[in-house]
Amino acid sequence: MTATDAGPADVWTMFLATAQRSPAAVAIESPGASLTFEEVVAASRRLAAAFGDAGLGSGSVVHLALGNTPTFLPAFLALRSMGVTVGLVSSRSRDSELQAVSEQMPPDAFLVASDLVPVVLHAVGGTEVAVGSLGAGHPDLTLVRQQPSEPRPAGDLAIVKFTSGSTGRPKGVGMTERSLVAEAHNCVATFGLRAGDRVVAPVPLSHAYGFHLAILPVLLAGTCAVAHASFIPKLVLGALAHPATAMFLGVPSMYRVLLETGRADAPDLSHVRYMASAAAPLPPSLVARFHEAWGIAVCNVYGSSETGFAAANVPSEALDHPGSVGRQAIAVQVRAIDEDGNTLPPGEEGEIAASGRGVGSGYVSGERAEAFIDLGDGVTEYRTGDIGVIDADGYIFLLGRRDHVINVGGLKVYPAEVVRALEQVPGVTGARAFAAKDPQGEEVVHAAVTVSGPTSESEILAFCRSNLAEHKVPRQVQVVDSLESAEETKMSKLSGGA
Amino acid sequence: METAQVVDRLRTVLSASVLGDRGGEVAGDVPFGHEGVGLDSLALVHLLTRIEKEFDVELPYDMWADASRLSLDDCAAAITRVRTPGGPPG
Repeated sequence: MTATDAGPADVWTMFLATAQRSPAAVAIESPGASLTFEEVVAASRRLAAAFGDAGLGSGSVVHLALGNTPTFLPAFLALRSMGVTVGLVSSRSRDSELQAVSEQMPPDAFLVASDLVPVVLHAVGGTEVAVGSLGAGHPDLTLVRQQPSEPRPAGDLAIVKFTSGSTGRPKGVGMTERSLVAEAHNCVATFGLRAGDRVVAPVPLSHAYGFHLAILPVLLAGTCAVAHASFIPKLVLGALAHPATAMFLGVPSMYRVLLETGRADAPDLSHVRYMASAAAPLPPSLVARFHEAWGIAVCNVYGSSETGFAAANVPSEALDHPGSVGRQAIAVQVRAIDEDGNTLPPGEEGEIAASGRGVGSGYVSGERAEAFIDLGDGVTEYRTGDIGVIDADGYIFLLGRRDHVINVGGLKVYPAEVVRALEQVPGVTGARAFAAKDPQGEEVVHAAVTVSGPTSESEILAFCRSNLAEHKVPRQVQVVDSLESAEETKMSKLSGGA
Repeated sequence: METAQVVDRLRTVLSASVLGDRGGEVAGDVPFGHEGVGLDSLALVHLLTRIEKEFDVELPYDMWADASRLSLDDCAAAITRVRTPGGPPG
């Protein structure tokens, strides 16, 4: 089955069809609260009416910062049923993150649990509109209305995922409705998820990992999302013991903690089809130790806010391919490419690129537009910036980040930090910082910038010297016409200087 | 065991599990989370797991759920409470 088969083209219609098949089944639960499919339908309609009364409608933008609660699902669906673009924002966000998501994508409102209202008001101001609660055990919802002043990106985005990575400054990745539906098919088909399967997620539903693998399958396949707000080993093990648990969305640290708590009182987990790990490198030694102690092969899952779910290992193969992040997902093509975008032969090192209909359409800010390539028919390829190798059997191995850390005489420099400083220089419209080799073969920082007026390289360097620690100041700044060409220069410098 | 001794042992666990040398400087009433020591949620889970092992106690769920606001003193009080015969159950 492919995502283009006749079928609902939007997530709300898709969910209604799914809900009709098993209205009384639980769609989403957290410790202490749950909602069945029919309850989610009713709650979504109720919330949509309340949001409509508050003046929201098609074309509005609402940043959903709810955290892991069953209310997340009807709140999301209510907004989508109205044609509202939903920003998925962490409920742990504070001033700088909330301000950054507001700048990237000015919202008409934030939708939050009431305890977050003071935080939002402090960060970005606004007017409170009480929405109420779905009942005992569910949070009180509040809309914090904003008055977006700037024009916003085109209104055909269904969701915007905010990613920070190691750079600290969130970037919004847009996905269209069609892309969301396709991604739901990709996740469900790759993992063989079925109605009633439970996916246990102690990871944020607002992040790509939790949203794509715990929420999207509920909408399409009728799975149940078991969302925990935090990783409490005994509670999570209790949830995993449920015989219908098909998948666990973990991160490496959780497996380390489980190793430490030991198996003594742990339930049998042999019915769990996928114990997954994402969001951080999963060391082969941890996989081996966990398998030895628990008899379970932890499966690496590869993806990002930009790509969605791109690749995974399956339990029967995970142990035989240590260090691999797995093979491409059913509806995704993953390839290693050279600087010109040509596919490299198996075993050759290059940049990892992932394409599919579930890949994001780009950053809402328009940054790095060159990394998202429209291949037509709704398919986008994203150049991840990850450097890796794909072997002859299709197993993907990551070797590092192209732009990760520049090592200047043993001191680490994050390119993003340099870029942030460069972008503050008056007249600079875009910047990139990258590693280069100095004549002695030592790694140093070089930068490329685009400018809107007469800004000289020496002025830019002078600004950097007063704003950055010495070792972070670029050794060289080049004014370029487009950062895309700088990107190529950077690749050739890296490969040439090694 | 005196509460002060428990706090000292807890400080050792804090150093050994997540903080390294810096653990010795943490005052008894400083919360473990971002408003104090600065531990993230998984580091907190790591710490509480170690504490349960080291003292052979089971900490109540509300402590796990609200771990970022706990301090060494809170943990010491909870450990003393669950170990005192006739005290409230954990």
